[in-house]
Amino acid sequence: MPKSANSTTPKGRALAGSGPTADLSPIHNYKRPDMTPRDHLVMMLTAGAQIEHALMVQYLYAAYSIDTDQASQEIREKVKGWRANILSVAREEMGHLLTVQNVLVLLGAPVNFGRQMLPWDHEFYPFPFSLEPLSLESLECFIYAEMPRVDSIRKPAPGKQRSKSAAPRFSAAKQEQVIQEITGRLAKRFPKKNIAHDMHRVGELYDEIIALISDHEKIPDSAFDEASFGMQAAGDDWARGYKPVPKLVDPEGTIVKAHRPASGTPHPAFADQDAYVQVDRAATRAEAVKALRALAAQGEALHLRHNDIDEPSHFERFVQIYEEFKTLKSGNLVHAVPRNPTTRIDFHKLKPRRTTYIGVDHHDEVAAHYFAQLFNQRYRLLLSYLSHSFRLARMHPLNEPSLRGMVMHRAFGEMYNLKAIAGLLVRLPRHGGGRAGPPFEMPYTLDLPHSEADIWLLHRDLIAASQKTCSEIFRLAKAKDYEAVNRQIVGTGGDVYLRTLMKIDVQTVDWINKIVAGHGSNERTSP
Amino acid sequence: MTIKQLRILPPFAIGRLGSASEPMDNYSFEVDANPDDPLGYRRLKAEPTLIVNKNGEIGSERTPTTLEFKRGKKIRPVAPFLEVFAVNEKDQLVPLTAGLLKKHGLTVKDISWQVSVSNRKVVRRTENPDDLVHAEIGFSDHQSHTLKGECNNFIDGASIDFGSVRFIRPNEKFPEIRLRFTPAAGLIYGPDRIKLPPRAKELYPDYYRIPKQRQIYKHDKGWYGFRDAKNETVPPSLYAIEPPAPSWLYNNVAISRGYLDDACDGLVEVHLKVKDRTLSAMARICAAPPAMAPDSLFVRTLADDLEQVIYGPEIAPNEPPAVTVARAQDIVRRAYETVRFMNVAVMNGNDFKGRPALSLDSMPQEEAADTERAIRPVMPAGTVDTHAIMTLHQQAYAALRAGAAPWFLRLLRRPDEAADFTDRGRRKMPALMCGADNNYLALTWRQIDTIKKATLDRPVVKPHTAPANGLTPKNLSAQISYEAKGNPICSRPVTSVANCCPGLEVDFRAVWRRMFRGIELREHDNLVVDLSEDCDEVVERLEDDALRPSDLKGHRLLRVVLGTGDALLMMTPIWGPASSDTEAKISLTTSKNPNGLAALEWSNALARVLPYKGSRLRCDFTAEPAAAHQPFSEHPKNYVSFSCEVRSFFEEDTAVISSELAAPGELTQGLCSPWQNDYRECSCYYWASARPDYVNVDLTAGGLSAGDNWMQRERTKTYVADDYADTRLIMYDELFANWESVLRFQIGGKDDPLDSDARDKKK
Repeated sequence: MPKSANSTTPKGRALAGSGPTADLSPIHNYKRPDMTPRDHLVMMLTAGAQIEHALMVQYLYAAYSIDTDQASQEIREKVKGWRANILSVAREEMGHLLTVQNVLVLLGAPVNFGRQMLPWDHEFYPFPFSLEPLSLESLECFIYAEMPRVDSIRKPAPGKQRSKSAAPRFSAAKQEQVIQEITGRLAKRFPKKNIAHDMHRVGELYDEIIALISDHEKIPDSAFDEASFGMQAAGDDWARGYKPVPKLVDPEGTIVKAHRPASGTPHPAFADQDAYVQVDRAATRAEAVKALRALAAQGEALHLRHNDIDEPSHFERFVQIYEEFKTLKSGNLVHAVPRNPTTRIDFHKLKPRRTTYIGVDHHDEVAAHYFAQLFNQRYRLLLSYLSHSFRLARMHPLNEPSLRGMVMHRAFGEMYNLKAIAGLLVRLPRHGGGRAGPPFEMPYTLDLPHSEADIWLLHRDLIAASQKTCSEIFRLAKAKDYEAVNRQIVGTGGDVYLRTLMKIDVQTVDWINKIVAGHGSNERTSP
Repeated sequence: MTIKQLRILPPFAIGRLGSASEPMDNYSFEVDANPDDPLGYRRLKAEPTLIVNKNGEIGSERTPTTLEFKRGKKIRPVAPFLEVFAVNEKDQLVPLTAGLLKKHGLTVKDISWQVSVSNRKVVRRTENPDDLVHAEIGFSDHQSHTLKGECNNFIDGASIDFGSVRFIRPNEKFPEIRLRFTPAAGLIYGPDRIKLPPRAKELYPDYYRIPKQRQIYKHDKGWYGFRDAKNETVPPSLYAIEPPAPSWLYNNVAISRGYLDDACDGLVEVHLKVKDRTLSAMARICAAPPAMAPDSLFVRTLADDLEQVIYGPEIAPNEPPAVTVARAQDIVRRAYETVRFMNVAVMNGNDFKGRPALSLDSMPQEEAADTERAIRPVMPAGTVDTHAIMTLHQQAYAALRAGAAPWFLRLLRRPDEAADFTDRGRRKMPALMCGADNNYLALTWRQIDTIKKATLDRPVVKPHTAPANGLTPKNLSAQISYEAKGNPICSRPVTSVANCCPGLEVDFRAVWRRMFRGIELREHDNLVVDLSEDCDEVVERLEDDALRPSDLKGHRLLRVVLGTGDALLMMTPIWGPASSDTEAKISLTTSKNPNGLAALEWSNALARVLPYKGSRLRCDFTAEPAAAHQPFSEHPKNYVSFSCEVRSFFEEDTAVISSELAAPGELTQGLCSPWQNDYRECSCYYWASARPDYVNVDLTAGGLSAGDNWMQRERTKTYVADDYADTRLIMYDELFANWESVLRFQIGGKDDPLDSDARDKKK
């Protein structure tokens, strides 16, 4: 029996008011009465996916902002360690993103690669989305988003025991101190906000999701489509280089004790901490719960963890960076990249204080503008390939080379492109000082066309747009009065990269044309 | 000016076999020749070619307009020149010329040469010294001298033609002192009498009949009919066998047909009488198969290994980041140049058109056979397609060229992880290929350190190769890469593969056998196979009640302890996936390998030993003879320690591999006899860009790759997977009889359009 609008939440908070004028906003842990529990679950999972995506790009932006060109080798190694760890976190968020997509697929829901769905997600969004250079302030937000529940720090969750070999990096006291410090500083920075209400731990959302998905009454077994397993993203495909070292077992399958890290064994050096990208599939409710728990544990703490993988949580990584950042003079540790760069003057005019326009009005910023535009185009391609890979999973067998595998490789290729272009952007100047940054601007839609041929034509169209951007950069580089463009792209090595990218794109278009022709769309093989 | 010393450059020159009368023109290749095609194949560039006329002079120099690797159906051999240099009083290397000789009151007649080459392939198997084929000649004239390889077990008067050498007559335009080595035609020799296999006419109608004039090996001297070597090579049975072949499909029965080839390696010496003394210099030569994909380089070459020998496994901290980054980019480029010649889906261990992967040749199949574990693909089967994988490599290359620091250091396989057959281990890079230890290929430590340093250095915008430091007596690297006038790039170590299992040009494993004075190890593992007569004098016992050094035959070298105290183990565990837990691993053992250990390849395992040349290091050997691999153990102690002197890798003050490490013939003795047999048996996952697999590759309407197997007779764009029996593929006897015609050069990943055989086939 569905609960009435006056139902209390498990935390005992009653819904304010009742009747037709009652506030029906989804509040913490309460679904709207016009939604089924399954729908509410899907909504939360969708929000979860979007939050993972949002966190990932914010982490990436922070990582790319780090200036590794430090004269001092000691500082260079330190900041490279920060960058490496933040990129590891971003990779792991990618794993989370894909895992959440898998649970959506399990429930028969559409995948979602968006980043925000106001007003549905404001109860869960960790902090207001903002692309910012790494700073103590941004680290505070990251830590807050990833931190564990304070009451779980000293005692594990029921039924769980902390493994000695998975000892935390920081003592319980230290963790509590950091959380208190962070919370206090955030409260001072956002004095009008009730931190506890308007900023959220990511773990809160997953607690809700896990609680609901575990509820046999609200989410019956029939809600789970076991046959969807083969359509889900596999860790073997997406995370193969980022798995932990296998543990050694004897012929009977018993872990060989000698190969277990002994209690008190020092953790690997911070800079050498690998990423462990978890992309879990689920065929059943139990597997979905397990996957979601693992995802949450990777973010915040070990108390939910079931294995002995010796890797720091996201929370621990950010705390480490935070503590180190405090000890160094931050002046030259990050590039002077802007907040929320945008290539759109219209959007900048809407939010002039929150965004930084990288435009074409000044010749010394033109190169940055077009590279930022190129970044957006490749970002969109990446998201399209990701979405397409899930669509193709329905059609192609897994045991032989197929377009699904090829699209997956394309997605990886676009990740490399984003890395490369971001690296160029933070070296390109803006008019008036400072450097550019990767804008990560979302396209107007991520929806894929209905027919397979049209999806390929969409990819081709996006590549054509990218090729046009590259050509335009070269055209301007040769144009009179645009010497700055030429100087900047040559000075950063952007010219070499663009030529290489254009060559790859020519090959890609050729590839797509063959595929489209194979779909019987010969007449559409040329744009 | 004083002539203090002489040098021959290059110190190592590779000749390439072929029967055409005119040697191959000089050529090089360029990267980034076309700025609009930065990912394209290296562009072959014709270079000035020296034309030697009948009287031994260089009559002219011309640059051809096109590069023809074949003339008619014959492959043009690569005949390198070796130039003599003088070290003057300023320690400069200057070309030795007729004019310089004259200034010292000398003439060209004061120059003499001694060339000594051998083919020891049969000796390596039979261990019968009478099977040595050796040619030696001394001369000072300008005639072309045939290198006649003689053997005690040949019929009277017979010999193998190893090619020729000629002291080039200097003239006004080309006054330098040089020698030319022209390798042989790539012929096969065999026994003077044979007994055909049963039902040969019916079952093996193409059984190769060696021409009468090359039936020279006495049929009753052991090589014909040889089988079951006591001191086996790795891979085993690397020789032409009586059908059916290959042996591993037929109960490992490998009965030798008694074939020999005309490949060889050895030493070239020049002597100059100066008043009361004689100055001498030395270089090495070898004759190898042609470089069939001349516009591609392998991911790990002999040049990489030699660079590690010279400079060590670690990059100098003061190497300019721009140089390091350039080399890191070059490694990635060579990676995709290699992978584009591999049918990745098949090499991955996928089933092929419904056929089980176990029936096809690949690293997973080898791994399954060696460890008796179920075959499984390395990467997920649905994700491997050559075009896609190559494009991904190109994307990585593009990112590097944009200045991104390498992010894939952790994805590179360490040399001591070569036997990690878990999924995590197998998926490391380079993927799907075999290393010199017969396990998964690893780069050199130095190549890995290049990537590491590029990751940690300050960002670089414009990478560049290291500035040429000039040719000096001390600059060994410059000497090894020296481009003698007229020599195509394929005569240099950069075009020689380094994952010698056994190799193509040389078996580089052979040079490490005698790294410790008095002791000889087997080239492919740590077994002591021989000891010098004076080993009890030159090897010191460190334990009073221990064995004598002369008792060490049959023991195994377990580890070497450096002067720093670091211990280098010579073995690595073999790991495999646990069947019941995808996140676990187990030790893979067999009855022959109960400890589940694999030998490390020497080039990486002993890289840190080389700086100790002339000094002694502690070497720990098994306390007992050990037929199987043994782990190192302190408790209980299973080893005895000796103090061994480390030999110098190079001849003093030169870049010539020391004659103490390898006598003539020993650099090629581990290779297949005849080498043509290896083109049939050693698949592309050994040296994809030298022995290609996947050629003429294009895209299908399905967006996947389609191409030919390099070894398939008819080019149909339908790949024929190699099961060693498919008659659509070139088989052994066809190679023996007609290799020059059936093997096609690859230019731009496609059959060379100038190849007349390719044109005939198209008709």
